[in-house]
Amino acid sequence: MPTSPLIGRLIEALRCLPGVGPKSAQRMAFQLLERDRESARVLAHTLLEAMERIGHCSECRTLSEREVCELCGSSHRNRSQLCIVETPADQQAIEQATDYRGVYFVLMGHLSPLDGIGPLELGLDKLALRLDSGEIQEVILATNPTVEGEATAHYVAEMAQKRGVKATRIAHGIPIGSELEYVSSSTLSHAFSGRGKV
Amino acid sequence: MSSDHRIQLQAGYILHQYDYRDSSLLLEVLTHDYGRVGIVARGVKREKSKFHGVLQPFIPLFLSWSGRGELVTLSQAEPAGKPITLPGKRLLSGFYINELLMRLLPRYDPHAEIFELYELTVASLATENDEEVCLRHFECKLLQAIGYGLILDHEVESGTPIEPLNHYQYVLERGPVQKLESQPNHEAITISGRTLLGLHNNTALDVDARREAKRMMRAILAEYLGGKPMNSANPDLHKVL
Repeated sequence: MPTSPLIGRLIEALRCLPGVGPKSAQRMAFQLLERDRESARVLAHTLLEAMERIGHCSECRTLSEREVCELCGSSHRNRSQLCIVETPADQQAIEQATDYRGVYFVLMGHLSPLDGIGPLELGLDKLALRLDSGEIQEVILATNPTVEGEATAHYVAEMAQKRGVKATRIAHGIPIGSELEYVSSSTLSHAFSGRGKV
Repeated sequence: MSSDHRIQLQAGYILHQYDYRDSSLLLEVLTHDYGRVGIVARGVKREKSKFHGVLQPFIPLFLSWSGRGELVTLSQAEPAGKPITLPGKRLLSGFYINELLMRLLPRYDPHAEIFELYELTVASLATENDEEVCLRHFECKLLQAIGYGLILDHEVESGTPIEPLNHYQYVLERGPVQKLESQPNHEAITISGRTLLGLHNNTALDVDARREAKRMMRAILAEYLGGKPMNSANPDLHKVL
């Protein structure tokens, strides 16, 4: 039991971080108090400022402190290709791994009918307006290969089709460097049915 | 009833999953011998989990678990047979039948016939079979299995067989009665004999009959769903923006 109520509050507050239980929260609290008060102050200020100022980009819905995020505002991006992803982390992953030069739309989730998450909760009305503008020629569906991700991809593909916009889906396949014998049967069956000409 | 021992390789389908703590999932599973079971799958959201790509709805699985009480712990999961792939346009129907089971079936109430019905329904949704006929058949058989079976082949008052060309009123919790123009019953649903027999025999329905059958089943199910509408029947999901 901490000796001061404030230390107790600090430990409790640190537990909001993912993977942090009571023991790790206590270690973090004592580390900051005993050894690194300066970093803790920087952390506190940054946290406050970030919580105050970071909102959603008005074009792609990703997290951003500006009205339009840097990527959407950039003149070097191809605005006729739009890649649909579930989270800002997915967007980051594609940016780091590929040469994609188009823009994104970040759903901040996926359709989840049993949890009551429908098209409006994902901002798809906003996406509809973007598709209506006629600027977009290809929609790249990069939602996760889960049933909810597939349902989302299917829904967005129908939105694109309705407007005569080409929709493509990222390929499902065998992870590079793995062995067929150990790949899950659903991955293998998808990869097999989606085989391409060499 | 709760299981207090190790269950090995039980046939099951995941109906839904919720995030549980940081890296775990709470799976709602329909099993052959134990009914609907809540299973905690620990650490499955970590990158190195051996269950990657296995724990997905609509895939026939063999599941092993242990523990006692309301929630048990997953120890093994592997695919049972060839995976079924529901095409994108059929996924909403898949979510719908999963939600019905979540809402109407209490945990640990085993019904082998519901498991078999579910398996058949998912398999036929995955083919080009008529989607609406699959769903209506599932609804009727599910109600029957949980003790709310519908009368579809005879009139409840006189016991006379349903005539395809006659019109009836379906009185909730009773069944079809001959439609009397003089005594309009606002509680009841109007339905043709043809549609009732189509549902009874699980045969193809034309456009009008489908609409009638759907409206009747929605009204009947609403009785048992306790006033809360089905999330997966949200009209927004069925209307492309």
